[in-house]
Amino acid sequence: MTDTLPKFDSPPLIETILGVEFEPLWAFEIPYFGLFWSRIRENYPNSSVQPPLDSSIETFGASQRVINLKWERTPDVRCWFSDLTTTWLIQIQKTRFINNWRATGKDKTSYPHYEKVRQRFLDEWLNFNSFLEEEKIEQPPVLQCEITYVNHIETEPQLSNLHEIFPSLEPVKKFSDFLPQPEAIVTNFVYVIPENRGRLYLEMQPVFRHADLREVLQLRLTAKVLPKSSNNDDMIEAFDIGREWAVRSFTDFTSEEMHKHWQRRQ
Amino acid sequence: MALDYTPINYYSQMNAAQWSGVTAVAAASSSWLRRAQQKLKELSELTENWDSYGSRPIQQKASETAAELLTETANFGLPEPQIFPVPGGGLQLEWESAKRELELEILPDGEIEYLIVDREGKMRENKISPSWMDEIYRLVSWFKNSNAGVDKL
Repeated sequence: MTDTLPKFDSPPLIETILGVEFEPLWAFEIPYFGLFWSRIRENYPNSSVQPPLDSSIETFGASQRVINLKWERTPDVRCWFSDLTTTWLIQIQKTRFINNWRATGKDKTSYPHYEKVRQRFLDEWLNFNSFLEEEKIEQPPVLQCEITYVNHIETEPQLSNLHEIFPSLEPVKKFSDFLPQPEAIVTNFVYVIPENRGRLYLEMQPVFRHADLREVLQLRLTAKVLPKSSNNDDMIEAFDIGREWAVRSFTDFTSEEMHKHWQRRQ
Repeated sequence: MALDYTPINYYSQMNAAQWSGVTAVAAASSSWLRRAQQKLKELSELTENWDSYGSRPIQQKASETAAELLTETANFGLPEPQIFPVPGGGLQLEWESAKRELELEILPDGEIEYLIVDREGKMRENKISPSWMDEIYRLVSWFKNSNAGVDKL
């Protein structure tokens, strides 16, 4: 399946994120974050504390979405553990385990391929599960697998030529005598993955990038896929579906002219 | 019972799993943030010896941290700061209100030091830990509380 996916030698990819959301690990109190860090600190020496991410499990039909009312005795946190090169990051909270890769420095052409990022995620996830087992904390049922590709398109974001990058967007016209040209355009599309396996979220918007203080177009594709079970094979299948949707959507949403620029070879 | 309250975040990716720091242009357009980003960009283009005392240009790590600080302080509802280059390649953000001051100096390597001055002129300064978000929030809360002395930080 994956062999037929479009491939680019120089895509505008700046970050890949693989993560899982699971039933809350109620026993995973704050001291366990530090204990787990001591286990991975050699490879991830930097840490910081972030606000936790909300739950966002995909539901279909009459199912109810999660309501964010919680009974808690202790504050909820998300911990970041990053490597020395600030290229790889592990994010942990009571309901999530996430592994990020991001481009650093000026060389934006060398990025790890999906199989490598997936393997790295699985290795880290298994290590986390071993830790839980050693601490006699029950391993959580995985509810959702998420894969995100963040792309930065380094073009002068002229509103009038967005359709040259994203052909499905009509050229922005002046609609009436009253409304001027918009100051910015933000686009969101949501697609259901067949058989209600999940959804693909496509977001495009201009952003100010902190690393080099440049304004770029950010195209972020996030596939949220419901795995059939929590075992590794089913998680891999869910990530593979998400990856396929993200890659094909990126290719569909962007123009052939840009594909040449990004050196598409398949 | 506690509501799971997360402050609405208009400008950054704080509520996403994304790691790369960005600010959404559309969300920032109605605030002082875009002006401040433009100023930051101008300062980042200062060349060697910009102060005529041999200073390095503003270092990338300093400007990146400053961009993140501007976004987060805008999220926390602070007014527009003054932004200055610091000899050696750093930057300084300054807020002043009712004789109270908050200064954040970003060192060339991205580390942060703060200085606060209360209405009575008492000062307090320190470094900010690497996981600085909570520290920044504490400083901002202090600055917005017009009655607190530096001992209330």
